[in-house]
Amino acid sequence: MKESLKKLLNNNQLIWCGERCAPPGQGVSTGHAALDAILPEAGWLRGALIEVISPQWGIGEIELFLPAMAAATQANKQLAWIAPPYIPYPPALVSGGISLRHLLLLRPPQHQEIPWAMETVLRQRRCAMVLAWPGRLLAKTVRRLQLAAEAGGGVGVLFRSEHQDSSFAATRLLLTPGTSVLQVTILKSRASRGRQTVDLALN
Amino acid sequence: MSESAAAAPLQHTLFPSQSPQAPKPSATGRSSLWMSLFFPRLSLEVLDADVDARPWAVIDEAHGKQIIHAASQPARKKGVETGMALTAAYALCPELATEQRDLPAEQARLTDLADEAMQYSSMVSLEPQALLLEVGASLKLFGGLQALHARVAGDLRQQPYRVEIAVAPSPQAALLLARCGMQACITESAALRAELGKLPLAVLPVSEKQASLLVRMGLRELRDLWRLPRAGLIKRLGLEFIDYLDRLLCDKPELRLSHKSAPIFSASWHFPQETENLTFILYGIEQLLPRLVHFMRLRELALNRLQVIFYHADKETSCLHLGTRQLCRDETHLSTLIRERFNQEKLSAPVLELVLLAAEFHPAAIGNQALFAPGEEQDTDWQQVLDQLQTRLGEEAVCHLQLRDEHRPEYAWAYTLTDHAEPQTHGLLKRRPLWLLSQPQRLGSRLKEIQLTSESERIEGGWWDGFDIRRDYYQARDRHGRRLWLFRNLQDGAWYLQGLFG
Repeated sequence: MKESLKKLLNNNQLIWCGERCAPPGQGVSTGHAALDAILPEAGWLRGALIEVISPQWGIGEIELFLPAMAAATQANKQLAWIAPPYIPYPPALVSGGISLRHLLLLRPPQHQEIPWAMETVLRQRRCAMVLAWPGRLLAKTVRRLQLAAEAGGGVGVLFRSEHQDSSFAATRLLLTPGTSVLQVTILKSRASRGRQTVDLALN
Repeated sequence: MSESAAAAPLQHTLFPSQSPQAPKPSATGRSSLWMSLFFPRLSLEVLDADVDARPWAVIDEAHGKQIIHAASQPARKKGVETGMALTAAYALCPELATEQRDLPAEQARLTDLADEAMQYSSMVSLEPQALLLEVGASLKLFGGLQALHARVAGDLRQQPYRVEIAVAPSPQAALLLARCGMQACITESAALRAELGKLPLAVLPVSEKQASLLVRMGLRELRDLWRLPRAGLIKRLGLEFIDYLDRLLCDKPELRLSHKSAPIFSASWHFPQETENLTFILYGIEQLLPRLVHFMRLRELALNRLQVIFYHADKETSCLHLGTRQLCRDETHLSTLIRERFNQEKLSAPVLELVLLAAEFHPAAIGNQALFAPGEEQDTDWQQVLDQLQTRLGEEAVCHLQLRDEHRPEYAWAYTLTDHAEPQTHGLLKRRPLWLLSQPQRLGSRLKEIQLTSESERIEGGWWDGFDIRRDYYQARDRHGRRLWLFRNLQDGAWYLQGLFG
């Protein structure tokens, strides 16, 4: 391949060029080696939305993101949690390596405000990860959020209970609880290698 | 302090018929003259109670002992005096009602009075229980000292405070005379020695050691001090004391801090006719905002509370409160926040006039900007985003989490509104869940589907604040694969779900 063409393909986010062309190692390491191995950029994509699908919470979904979040707060970046279903319990967060100063908790009184709040926070360069439990979302709202994440360069995580066939999110994960493991199935990712499943050992 | 008894010997200096002549013009071409307003009963007057209806006393602490700071008239009749021990006062007057001295309230009243006093003089200075006004510069405006004195006394009579007024060429002399209850009016510094000389030495603000030394030296009145050689006095009583005497007698000038009234910004915008159109209203606000920012910039101030008051034609006024998380004096940011608020709230009626009001200012801490670190700039951006979120979602909705030193799980954390909480560590060895339920849920029949996966962990104690617990905690797994944190309440034997390992 010609040098100039390579440069063009590597630097232009808008051109999708499959697995081989994706610049390696640009993602945020997930902290789970098995997962890094199968994700296209060896970690969570920066400036993109991740959709996490699970019928219930409390199966290890936060632990999945905990190493990446801890690394972000230690790099003096902000985290935002929007409308979590339960109280994020500080003793466990601190044990996980998160500095509480960098964790912003938003509890919008109305459900309709969640997408707006998430978009506002995602647009900030300061914010490395935004976790949100939005309930029902319109497809175009997901698209808006994806664009906001691209503008801000952070990782947005949408936790959703209902399984839809398609979404604008760059990465889609399905979580299934197993005995002492969390089964993560990658439904969609850039440079897709098809549906892949990995078992993560939990503490 | 009866007026006639104290003022009689000074009758000849009270309001001389000619206007006071400056005996020793200072650099500015006039001598300064100080008026002291002393409020002897201020500590009693700040109380809500009707202190003269029954024996009342305000107590203060000195040397670890409770002593009487001020007593009301009925208490004085029974013999309760200032400086008396509380136990002695109770012995004299068993029905004495007492209250601890409220210094912040006294200070607040004094500040209010100082604001009032700014009308008589541009230089008002606060002293404990007293105000000092430089009136030398105000004489011409008010038509002489006598007129000014009458006006001050008349205005203060409207207030519910007892006041002693004294005028002297030096601030310390005015203060001393007022504290002694002498309604004196000395205009010439040459007359100071003669007038002050009659006062007993006990009125001087000196330490106990110095006071007893003065008594042992056989001195009774201030005039005895005038007669003693200066060098000897310095040796015996210290340079500080001599310095005080010099300032008292106008031999040395005294610099005083001037009281400044708290700044308030208020600006209004009239609309030619009633309007509900947000474009017009926002236009009005944006015309006023630069004035507010200019006001703050001149005074090196910043705000975190702002009000917009709307006047309607035939309805009650309505008000919009705006708050920022950090001190702010950025016009565009304030404008963004106001716009954000208008997206949320609707006007109750068409607006005729609006007022931008800010009464709470703080000194602006505008730091230097780093030359090479772009991080600082990002931080202000982040704070502005937080303000925006707070304006739209409400103050409660934007918060941080805080760790508390506490072994009971439900008390080991708290919400805070600021992120300045010190990063704490905790000494827990056992694993804690990432999710906590706001209330422990009682597990009824669901218990059958749950499988325990860990040993028990006993958490108990808390009798000291009435929330005693005695629980055995377990990790468990339910039918859906959720990892639970449960406990068995040993007090009632029931099982509860308190957290989830998310």
